[in-house]
Amino acid sequence: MIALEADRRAEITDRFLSVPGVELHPAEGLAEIYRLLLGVADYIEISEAVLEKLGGTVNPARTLLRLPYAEYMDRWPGFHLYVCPFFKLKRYERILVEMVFPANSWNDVLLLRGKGAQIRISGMGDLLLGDWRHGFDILLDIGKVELSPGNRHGCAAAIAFEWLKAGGTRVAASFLGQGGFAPLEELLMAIRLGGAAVPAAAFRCLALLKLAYCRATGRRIPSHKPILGDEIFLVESGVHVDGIGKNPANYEPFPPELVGLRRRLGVGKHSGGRAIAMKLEQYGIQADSRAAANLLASVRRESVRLGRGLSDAEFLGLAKKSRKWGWPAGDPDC
Amino acid sequence: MPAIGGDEKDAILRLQEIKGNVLVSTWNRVSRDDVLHSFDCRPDVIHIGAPVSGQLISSKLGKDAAWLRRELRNVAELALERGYRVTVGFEDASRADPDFMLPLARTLVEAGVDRIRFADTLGIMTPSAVYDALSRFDLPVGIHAHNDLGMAVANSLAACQAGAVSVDATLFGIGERAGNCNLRAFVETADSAFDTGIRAKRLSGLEREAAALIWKNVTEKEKKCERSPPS
Repeated sequence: MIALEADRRAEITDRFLSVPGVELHPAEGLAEIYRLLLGVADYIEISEAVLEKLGGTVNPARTLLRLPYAEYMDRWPGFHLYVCPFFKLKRYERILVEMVFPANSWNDVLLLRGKGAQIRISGMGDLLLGDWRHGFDILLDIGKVELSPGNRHGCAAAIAFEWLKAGGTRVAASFLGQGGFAPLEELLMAIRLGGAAVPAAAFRCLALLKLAYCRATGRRIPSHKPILGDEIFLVESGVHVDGIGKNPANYEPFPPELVGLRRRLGVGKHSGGRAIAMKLEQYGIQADSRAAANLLASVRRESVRLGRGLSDAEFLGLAKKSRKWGWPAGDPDC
Repeated sequence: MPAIGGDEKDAILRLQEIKGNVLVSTWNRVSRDDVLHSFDCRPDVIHIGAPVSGQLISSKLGKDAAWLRRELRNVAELALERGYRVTVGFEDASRADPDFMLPLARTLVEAGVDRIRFADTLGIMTPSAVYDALSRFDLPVGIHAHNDLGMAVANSLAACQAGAVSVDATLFGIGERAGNCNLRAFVETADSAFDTGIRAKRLSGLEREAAALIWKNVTEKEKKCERSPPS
């Protein structure tokens, strides 16, 4: 549990493994994802189908089981909580009732008050469009509500973070935002940058989760996905390269190593002299200022022609060609 | 960025010919030379990007606050005297000292600068922080959000609630690292609360056309994992 303040802790649930369809992936992959999620979130929500695949590897004390009907809970005793829709509920103990807004209404929430059930509010992706501070106050009034913002408007991570900041303690997110919820990795990093101590181990688990996810599903993560995309630390524009070269903290919101990434330098149309110098240094190539200036010009020309940044191989190719402008005999390969 | 020279200037001049109702703005560092290059392109707006955090002023520029205050004013006046509409971008404003930034903004606007652009250059802000920061400016201010925490759209919305006069957005959210505020995502979301003046439905057509140009040399496989949010 992450301490938000001295006396207030966040309880984070990940609901990736209860998204319909995940149970179709191989059991080993799901087991690895489950194990790694335990290192990131406080509770893991899984579906019955995923539970059947995971078998005995589940830790019930830290797992929420998602059920279509509350009566099914007798089949699977011992879980921390059972997540059920607001439908023909006859008992309320150990049940987390999921209210999906706008399908459910405030009336439903009021009906449940004082019955002993715990409440999750799901959806509300448009909260930031209105008076969200007031919205949070209403939610805080209900009691120990868990908020699981929907990502329909791309604001779920922001809503989840602001909810914790406004006084909420329970929040449900989902790794990579799968299922249309707040991306777990974005929420966690926001909490860290907000000043709370999130252990570095959690981010190591996220980096491993990325690999486990790709292996299990055969999908790739968009290269510029916040926090985990492979290319988020690729810098190209001259202004940023110059700043990074002087001190990475100038332009990096968090160190790449934290999420298992490396800083990379790209060259292209927006490169400046400094990028060329750093790239040459990376490959141990000596060049005088005239040769470097020529190389910069040809890099820009080539990048404009291709309509994109250059790969390292393409850069080295140009560097080789530039020899005719007089490379000092430095590296024999160039 | 006219200071890049050559092709860039030609491209900007060509933009001027086809721009229609759009205003063309050029980006400049706090440098007389950059602004002189911009004059060659006769843009509608001259934008000067100035780092305002202690971190960037000392570590990137190797200067101090007094230098920036003086030089920024000089460079802005150079463009203003030529009759240009000038905007100033406060780079890394999220880490800047408000006691330095706010008086600086005031002097610039009083000197004739059109508006200040508040840039969360590292993408480390959240909606409440953006709202509070922009509320402290009692002059025309815009927002430039980065998506490092996946909050560029949310932060831009919060800026509008705080009275921002402009929002920076890019096609497909393309930008450094995790990108900037995605134009279509922002317009589609903001549409129900604000009048953006942009027809959200036309943006998907624009994206289709632009994608064909931007990724013309990218293979289908690479394209698939480019920029599309996981669903």
